[in-house]
Amino acid sequence: MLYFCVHQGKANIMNYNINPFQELYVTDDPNPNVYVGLFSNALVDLVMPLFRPGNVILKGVQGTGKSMLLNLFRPKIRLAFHESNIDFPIPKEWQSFISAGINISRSGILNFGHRPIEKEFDLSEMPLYFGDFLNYFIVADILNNLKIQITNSNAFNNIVNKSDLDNFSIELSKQDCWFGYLDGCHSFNDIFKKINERIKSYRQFHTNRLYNLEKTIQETKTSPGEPISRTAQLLKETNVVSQGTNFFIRIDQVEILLGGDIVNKKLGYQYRQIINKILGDRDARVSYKIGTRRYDWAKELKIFGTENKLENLRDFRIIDIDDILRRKEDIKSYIFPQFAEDVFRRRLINAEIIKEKEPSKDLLKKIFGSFKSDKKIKYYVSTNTNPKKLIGYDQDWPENWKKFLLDTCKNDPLEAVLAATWVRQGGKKDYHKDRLTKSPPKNRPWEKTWWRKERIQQSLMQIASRSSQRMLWAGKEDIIGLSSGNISIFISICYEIWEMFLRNEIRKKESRENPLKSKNHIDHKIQSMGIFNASNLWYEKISEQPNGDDRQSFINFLGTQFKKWLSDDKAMSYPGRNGFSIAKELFDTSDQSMAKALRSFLNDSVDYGDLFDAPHTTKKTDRKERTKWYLTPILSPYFQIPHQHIKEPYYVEDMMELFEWIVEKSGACKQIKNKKKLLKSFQPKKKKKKSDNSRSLFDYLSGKIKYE
Amino acid sequence: MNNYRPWGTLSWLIPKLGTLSWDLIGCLGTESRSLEILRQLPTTGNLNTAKLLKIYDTDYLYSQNTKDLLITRTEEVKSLRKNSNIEIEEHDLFETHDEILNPTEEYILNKQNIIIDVSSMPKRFFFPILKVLLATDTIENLIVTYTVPKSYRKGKLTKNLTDWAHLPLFSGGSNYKPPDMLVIGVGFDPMGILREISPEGGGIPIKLLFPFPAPLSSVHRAWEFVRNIEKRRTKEKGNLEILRVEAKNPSDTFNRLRTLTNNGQKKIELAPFGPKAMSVAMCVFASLTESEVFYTQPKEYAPDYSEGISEVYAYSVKLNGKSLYYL
Repeated sequence: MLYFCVHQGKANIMNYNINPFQELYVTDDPNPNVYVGLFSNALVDLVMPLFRPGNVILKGVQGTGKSMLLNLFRPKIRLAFHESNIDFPIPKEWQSFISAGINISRSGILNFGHRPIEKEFDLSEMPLYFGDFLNYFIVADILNNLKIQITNSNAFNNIVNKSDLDNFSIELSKQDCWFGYLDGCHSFNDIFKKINERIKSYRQFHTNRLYNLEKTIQETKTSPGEPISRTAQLLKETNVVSQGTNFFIRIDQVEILLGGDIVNKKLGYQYRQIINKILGDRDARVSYKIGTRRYDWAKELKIFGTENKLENLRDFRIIDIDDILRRKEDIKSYIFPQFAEDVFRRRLINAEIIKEKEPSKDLLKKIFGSFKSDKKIKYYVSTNTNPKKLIGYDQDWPENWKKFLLDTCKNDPLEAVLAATWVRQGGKKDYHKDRLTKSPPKNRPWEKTWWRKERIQQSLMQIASRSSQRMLWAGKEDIIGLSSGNISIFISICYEIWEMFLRNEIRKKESRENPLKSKNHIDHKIQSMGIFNASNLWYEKISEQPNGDDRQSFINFLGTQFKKWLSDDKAMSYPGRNGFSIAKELFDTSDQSMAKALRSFLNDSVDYGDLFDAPHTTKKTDRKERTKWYLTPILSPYFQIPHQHIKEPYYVEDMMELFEWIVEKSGACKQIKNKKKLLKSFQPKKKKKKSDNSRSLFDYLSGKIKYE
Repeated sequence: MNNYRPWGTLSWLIPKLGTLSWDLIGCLGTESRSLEILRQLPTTGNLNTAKLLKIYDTDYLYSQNTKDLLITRTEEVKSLRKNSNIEIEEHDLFETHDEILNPTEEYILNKQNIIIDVSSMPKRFFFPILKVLLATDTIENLIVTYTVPKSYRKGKLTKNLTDWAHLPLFSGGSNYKPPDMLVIGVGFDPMGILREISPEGGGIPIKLLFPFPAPLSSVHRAWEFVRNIEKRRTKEKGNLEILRVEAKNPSDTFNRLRTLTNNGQKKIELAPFGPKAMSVAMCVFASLTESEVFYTQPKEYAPDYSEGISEVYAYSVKLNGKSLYYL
């Protein structure tokens, strides 16, 4: 059933059968028409180097929008913008480009290394075949995209001059970079066919055991990147495209090379070195655009055949989407809320719930409202008839304090809980005896801005728990906070809330709510249920990702541990214990292979969006360089812990503690299990008596004593 | 045109094929069903030789349970066929295509009647091996066998998936063209396929092959699989379609694939997450059409993946030198 509403003088349709957030992802190969309707250009200005000449590494955890941006280079997407009569989002001065790309996981390139090219084959040659396939695949894609541009010249600003194509083809076939493989090609169709034949031969070789790779292919392996650059150069020299045309090459899913499962680990690293070589050539004729997860790129920077490594700014420029979208100290630079607002608005337009030109300032606020702490408290305590339990004071506290707290609780339960917390913080051992000996102070120290701010979320958590209520998340601020700069999470939350809203409204036959029409936002309890569903879904999704079961187990351990710490800490002395911090030095000084494996596990958890990391400016006097880790905020509702990151996180001071968390408690990183024995063997025995021949770690290491 | 492809229980099919002497490629796994073919073959037909693949997943090094069960099964093999020519061959789950296939190619040389038992064989192995068997002209008779267990483990069956990638030898024969559809075999666990299922998905329609009839517990898990996919897919007309196929009958799945693709004319991608019989059909179809087959190979299998034996089914794929599956 459809309901009509009037908003800002224009008719809108609230359709109770459509969830505008159904499309959760813009993926590697999107439907162009859907993409165009949903694309938000809020990010374009912030990633401008991506659209200019030069190699760019677009870094970000999953779901931050890397694919969405890189997809702008695809001809079919550009065509869809043209056909929809929507301006192509890349600035006009950078619109003259030819693009091509390869998807490492889908192209078949991962087959290299699974079958020797011939008997007695030297495996060290395999990376050259990888490079050769990459060259041919990308050149084939350039030629294919030229065809698309010729057929749809208006959509691509008429940059391809088809009359010179055969001349270009003859010149291209003469290039020495092919080692004669294209000899005899006299037309565009000839080279297109010949190049595709070679790709087909490689594919056949890897899928048909009876097929052998022709000698001519083995004898004409091309140098990584060179045929691509020559193709670009000749297209300009033969005036098929103008001198100002750029060539942008996407390489998708490079991280799969270093995974160690689908490709032999050693070869995988060498293949990555081939890609590094192409970038390291700094060839101005072609620009490479590579999307990668946050930590994967730095795992291998060596250039194939050399001892040199790629260098940031010299060989490529990094665009870190996480960094762009994360909330910084300076709130003015926090652009994610605007991005989210734009995405939200586009979804509603696409679902024809609002009109395109409709003013829609702060649509998020209008639909989701705001759910501040005071409102949350009201929900939590609404069923609690036991203020004593709510405040959590001890039976032996003085009567004047008990009365004060109970009186305070009548009007302001949060105030009472904070006051009781303040009491518990006084003194060290018999805490309550220090502050309870005096009357409740008139100056109400628990109302001091920072003291209160740091403990308010933990208080809410404890109040909800003591009232046997589930913690609630709702309202624009919570939704933006839980999304933590990740647009996929944001859309997922919106989807689940909308789903709950529709489910609730569809049952009503009359007087259905319309958050666009009325002054009321979607009910906060409905929102909270939707958010809880989204949180569950993101928790479940962890195990769907590569190696996800180990990470899910670790996340489960952490979430449960954080919950316990924050619940048991009645004095709220450690409100920041929904995260942990480790000094960089600890990774450098601990057993190297173990530290490397643990660090890599943490990095993978960040890459897949399970954990969130940030540099940690320590309050400790040693000022050591540290990193802090938190659960990604959307997991907070699942574990019922606050998502805000405040105050000092838990300090991990011993690598064995991290080892215990990851390996022993979570069952992950099994490969280092034996390392514990190794480490134990380095532990000195307890000194029995001073006069004994006591053994020290130094004695073991210096060889004075043999290992036991 | 559809043709008759004999299939049924092992004890029904084998005697009907005459007094042939069979060579077996099987798998020595942690499950009891991995050896059921060896237990039953002596009473139903002549077993000439057998090659059992002992495939170590990444959990093997760390799980005592896996080690113990493999020792038990190895002992059982010895006791089962004391005088037979049974070879146990060790493999790593993630070894190269060449390492998977070279020993098999050597083994089948000059052999005419082959049984491949896929009961406990990971898809990363049985897909390429079956493809090679299909392409080997010297093989006159080819049977695929599969043992249905009494029950499956209630909880997770696999752990730690790898990336969505081609199965060995199934990365497509021709140059990349967008597929017309993605066909997913519906199974117990979507195993990472959900991350590949996007509402846009390039606008590619998805066909879900739903195994039915099947045991009630399997049907529940299969519907949960479907529900999870539906949640992440737009309900555009024709965008997502559920098609029923008979769980135990690969011929039914094969015919369905033929119909869907206009006898192999349309380009499809396959994702074999369903019952083994369905996966066998997908393997045969993809071999004939050079279709791409994607999978998220788990790194670990639960040692107690299944329990007991219900029935051993046998499917005739090649008979008297003629392939029963063709386009």
